[in-house]
Amino acid sequence: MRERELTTRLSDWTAEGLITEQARERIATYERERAPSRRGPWAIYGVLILGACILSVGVISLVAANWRDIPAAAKLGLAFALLGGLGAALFRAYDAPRRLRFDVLATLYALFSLATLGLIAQIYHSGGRPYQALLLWLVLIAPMTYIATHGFVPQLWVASSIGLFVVWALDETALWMRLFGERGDDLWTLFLIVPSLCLLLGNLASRRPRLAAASRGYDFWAFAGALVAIVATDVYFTFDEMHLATRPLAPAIVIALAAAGSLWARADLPQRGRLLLCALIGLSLLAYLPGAWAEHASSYRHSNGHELQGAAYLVVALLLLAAYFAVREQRRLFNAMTILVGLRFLIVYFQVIGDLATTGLGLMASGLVLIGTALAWYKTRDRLAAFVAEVVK
Amino acid sequence: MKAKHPGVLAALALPLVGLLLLTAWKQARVIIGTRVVVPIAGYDPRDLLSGHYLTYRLDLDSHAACPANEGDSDADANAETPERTRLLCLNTDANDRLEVRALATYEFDPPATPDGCTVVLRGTCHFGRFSANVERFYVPEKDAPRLDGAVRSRRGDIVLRVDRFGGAVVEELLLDGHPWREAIDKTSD
Repeated sequence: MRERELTTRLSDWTAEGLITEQARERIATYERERAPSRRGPWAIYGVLILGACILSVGVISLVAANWRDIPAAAKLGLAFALLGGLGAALFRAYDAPRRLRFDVLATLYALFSLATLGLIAQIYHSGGRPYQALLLWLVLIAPMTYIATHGFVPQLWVASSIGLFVVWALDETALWMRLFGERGDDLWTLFLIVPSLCLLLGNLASRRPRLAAASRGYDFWAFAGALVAIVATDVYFTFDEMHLATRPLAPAIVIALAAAGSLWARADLPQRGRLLLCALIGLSLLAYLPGAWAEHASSYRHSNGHELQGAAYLVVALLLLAAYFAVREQRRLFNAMTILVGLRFLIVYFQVIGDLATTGLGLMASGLVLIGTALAWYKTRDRLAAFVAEVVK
Repeated sequence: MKAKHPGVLAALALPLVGLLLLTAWKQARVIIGTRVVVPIAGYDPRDLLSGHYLTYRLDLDSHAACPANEGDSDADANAETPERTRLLCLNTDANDRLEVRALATYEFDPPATPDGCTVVLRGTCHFGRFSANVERFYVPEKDAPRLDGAVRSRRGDIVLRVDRFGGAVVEELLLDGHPWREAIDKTSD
């Protein structure tokens, strides 16, 4: 609550006789003293990490400019001197009472390592693939990420590791493409694989307390990836463009099943939550199997043009996610999922009435549907959350 | 330095030490490798400039570099065999001409170089073109267009350093037989 809003409320409560003048003073003092320690460091943290990232991007740009007048030995010497200085400062900051300095220095150290790797590649004209450089960098900073335990660097490592997998899978010379990606459409399975892989890694990382930050990071990307996958699957059904075969789907099935199994490795997850996520994974795989099998069984291209099938899948998938968040008592995410379900219903409405929506009557009806849906959701959202939590008990 | 955190020290030193070792390894390959000059050409009509580097191909006799194996059709040998390693015997004759001959695997027993070969270069064949993972040269942005034009007009050579196992690193780009910096400076004067 903002300070001005708090002051107004306290004045109202005092005027109504709900609290005494002394209580008002004590609450105001308490909140004033608490606010800087709660919000200040986070604001500074964000700005400092942003500054470290911008500084590192500047260094990488400087490296990329490849100034010919500076000898290679001087560039390398400067890079290693900077890296050594940062490493020494980081070691000194490890035991410091304030973690902020360590986190900022660790961010700089990690990104300067990447810049130095780029410089080495530039000076020696390395012909390697981007995923190879990314893999080497992640290996080099992995122990540092492990000891950092929290802050920005574990999140940077997690996001980069997902990027590494995607870059590797999309590289035409990599093993993945040779095994599973004979056609462009086959890479569609990455939409299923990435969230499953994140869920699997997040669950496994949750077993070790030092990897708690990485586990949270993979959880976040699993959720974000699942949303993208759900929308992508809806698109897959709605348009007649995508064609899958069983072979590229095989790794998606294996990784998704491993992710489902790993849910039981997670102590903090209620049993109902596990079952709901398993249902979501099963539903997503089942959505693809008939099309892939039809493609495998015959030489003719299977058409997937079923708009309402896509909408039905998306609605059920989002409701499963909403139920999961209701079980975990995460109200905002529950609300967000139900809003997305409502939006998909509106899209179905426009798909069904088609050109009628552009007529005067159609526009009026559409406006009323929008207002009615929003009001209905707003009025029933609390009861809806309680109902869903009760149903999945 | 504090001695109570050997694990922390090792974890924080790894990026620095790892990158130093990588640099040392690359520099050692440049120093130890055998020098060989190979002509280069562009992938017409593709732009040679890709970001901050030139991409090119080694201008070798493709029939000599990527011959069809016995029992293979030309298409089989040249089209899509990225995992198959190819060995090339490169020999500079008395007139500084580069002779190219494909070797069978049994003809090369590293680190000994077969008779008549200055170096043995290891690579792969893609669509009938030999690639040794040296087809990239980083250049300053402002000099890039001139270098692009020079390589496109086949005035370029690449200086490779090849180790005894057939691995190669790029040492220098030559334009009309001179290091590219000198060649660019001459044309600017």
